[in-house]
Amino acid sequence: MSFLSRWKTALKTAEGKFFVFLISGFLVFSLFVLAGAFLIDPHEDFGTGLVEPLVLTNRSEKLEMITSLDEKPEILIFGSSRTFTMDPAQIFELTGKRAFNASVSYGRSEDHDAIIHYLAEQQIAHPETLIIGFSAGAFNNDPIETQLLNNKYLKQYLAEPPTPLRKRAPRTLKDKLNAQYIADMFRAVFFHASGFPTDRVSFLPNGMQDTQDSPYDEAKIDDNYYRALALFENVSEPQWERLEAFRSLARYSIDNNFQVKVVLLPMPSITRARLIEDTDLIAIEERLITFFTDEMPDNISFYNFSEVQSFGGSEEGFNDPTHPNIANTRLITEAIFY
Amino acid sequence: MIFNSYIFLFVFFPIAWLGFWMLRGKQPRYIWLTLASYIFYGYWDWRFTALLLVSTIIDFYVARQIPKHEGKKKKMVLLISLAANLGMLGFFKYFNFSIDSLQSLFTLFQLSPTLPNLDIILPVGISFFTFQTMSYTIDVYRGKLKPTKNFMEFACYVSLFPQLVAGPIVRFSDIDSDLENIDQHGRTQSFHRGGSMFLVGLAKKVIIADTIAHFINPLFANTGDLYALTAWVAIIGYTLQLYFDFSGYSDMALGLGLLFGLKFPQNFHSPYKAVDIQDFWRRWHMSLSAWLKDYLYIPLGGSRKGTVRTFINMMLTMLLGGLWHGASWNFVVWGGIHGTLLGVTKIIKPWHDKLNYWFRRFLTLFLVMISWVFFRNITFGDSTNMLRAMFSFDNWTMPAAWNLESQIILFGMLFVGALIALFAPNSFEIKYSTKKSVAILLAFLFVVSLILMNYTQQVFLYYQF
Repeated sequence: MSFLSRWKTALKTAEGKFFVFLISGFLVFSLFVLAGAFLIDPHEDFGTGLVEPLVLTNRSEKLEMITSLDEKPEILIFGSSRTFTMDPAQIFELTGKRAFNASVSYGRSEDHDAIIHYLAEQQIAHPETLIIGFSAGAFNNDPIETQLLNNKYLKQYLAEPPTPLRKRAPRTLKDKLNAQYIADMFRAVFFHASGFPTDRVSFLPNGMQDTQDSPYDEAKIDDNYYRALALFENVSEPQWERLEAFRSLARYSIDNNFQVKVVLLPMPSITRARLIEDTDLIAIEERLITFFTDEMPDNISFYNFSEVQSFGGSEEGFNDPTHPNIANTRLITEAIFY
Repeated sequence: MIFNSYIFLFVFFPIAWLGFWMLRGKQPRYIWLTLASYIFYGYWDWRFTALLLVSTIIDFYVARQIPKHEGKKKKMVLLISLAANLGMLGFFKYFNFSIDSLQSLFTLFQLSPTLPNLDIILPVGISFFTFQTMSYTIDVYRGKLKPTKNFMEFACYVSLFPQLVAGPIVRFSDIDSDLENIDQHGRTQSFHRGGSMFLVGLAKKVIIADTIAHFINPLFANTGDLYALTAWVAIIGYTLQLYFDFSGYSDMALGLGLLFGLKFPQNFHSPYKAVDIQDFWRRWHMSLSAWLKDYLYIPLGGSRKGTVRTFINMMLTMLLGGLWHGASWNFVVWGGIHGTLLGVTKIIKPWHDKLNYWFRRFLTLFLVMISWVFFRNITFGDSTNMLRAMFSFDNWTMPAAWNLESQIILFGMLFVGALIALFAPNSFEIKYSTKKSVAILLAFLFVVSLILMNYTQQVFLYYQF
């Protein structure tokens, strides 16, 4: 009897039927979960858009805010959540120029490059000065944010065109389809039905985060150390592609005649000491300092505020191991325009 | 390669399984299964497949020679096998441990010679396959087993991937008739039982053990910060994690064996339902307990040479059993605790047996749990920190890091795990049905396991032994 006919016979037995139901059941349940992931899309990986995603969607939000401004900003602030609290009103007091905080969550050099290209080419803003704040971890090997890859305004300005969704989806599902993702699907549906919590990040009309400093809590620095550590996992030098994205921005700044002020942001000394022990932080920073001081054109100035003392900041001026609070951010802003 | 990985579940296993059943005849199936097992083992580090091969060649030929000799010569031939296996185990697992211990001893006497410390990688599963092949040559020596003439059959037995790296320790006599009849029809009747056991084992490992591990591992990382609640949660959690992890692995191994038509021996029989420590060892890691009894305790004299010798033999067996788990003194202490408890149980057994059944179960579980403190913590400092915190009964507040969601998941999993471990029939006792509803339930469990596996994939605890 051939192998196939043996299997045909086997499938007619109770054992065979059991396996048919087992495999069919597995396929049905899996498809159900995958379809749910695609439709709910809690992390905005697929751009389905049926349910409001859980992740911050401030790339679109910020761009729409700038577009709706009556007067175009002369200074733009770029960065990640670490620069959310840099205050355009303070910059206006210091320089007399209108500023807008265009920082976006998980913002990295490819975001800054895409955003400035978009704003200039769509004639939405043509700033005189860019302020770009970053931590050394912003040049790590994390993949490009899906929020950027899927952003309807920005994706066309990426140096490398994003991989099509049909090719990206299987890998994304394999990477993300886990317990946390499933929990997020339920959360997204729950919030969609009952309304999102009011303590979500929101922004003032000038792009600054609408928030206030809370009292210093050292436990937050200790307990969240792993978040700082995660930024440097398997990183021994700044990622080449991210440096290239910055070079692209630098070239664009010369072509379009604007100044760029680049700021290496601080961490609490206690976090910094631990990172120096546990990671290649020093080597990464040294490479970045060389990059920004020796390899960049003259219109780009670099401010190394990696240590709190360098800008006269406070050790207690942090919300967690990587986010300076409003008070420290104000001191940084002052130091830039001093 | 581990069972709870995508590469195993969706690439390796389907190919190995379909290929096996497509082939006809003994020899092709032995070769296929051996090849698959070497790939499975070599996926971790291909260099160590050489160890497996050397052990296989030595024991195959030694076993063939044993019946040809008598008396001292016969013993000498057996010694070749024992020396090779124990030498390999000793070098890879215990060399650095011995050097470190010797160095500490010298330091104690204020001597400071510099002893060599080699950069040795411990081959996965070496403790299992060396014990397995030793049992083969010893059984041949004792005349309990006729050595096989088929090298591929033996190579297949030694390397069987379902149980190669974490047991159960399968003796040749357990599966020789299955291996002999590997080409026979009608060996597919246990497929549903095999598939079901595998999926139940995967669920035990991924859903229960790994979820608990996610919460308790950080507690063991800082024993100095423990207080009553966290210490008790840590040790109760570990008690359940270890059981569901290891018995889950054993279920998967047994299930995979059945899917290839091989019946491996049961390795767990609801150990936390034991009524005394002797009973515990009849239920926990049964293949190791039986191995230690047959090849160590009884040859030492067992209980035949008076009470004192019985206790000494028991203690020696348990100390070595502890050391088998890892080259570290904490395992020796753990073995010592169990040796002592076995001795005490033997003395008080007539009185102990009259105690209330539930009290005996509770007491046994409590003692086993205390012993896990020494098993889990590498240093005595960590163990004493933990015991101090457990019995301080000082602080029962929830740690700030556990929000409500974490508390529900952790305590829910501890509750479900405890219910299963203490009251439910074990996966060997379950009568697996071929009903449609059972297949669909298992499919659901599989999907849940995959989802959780992707998030908290962790290797099996017993891989390290």
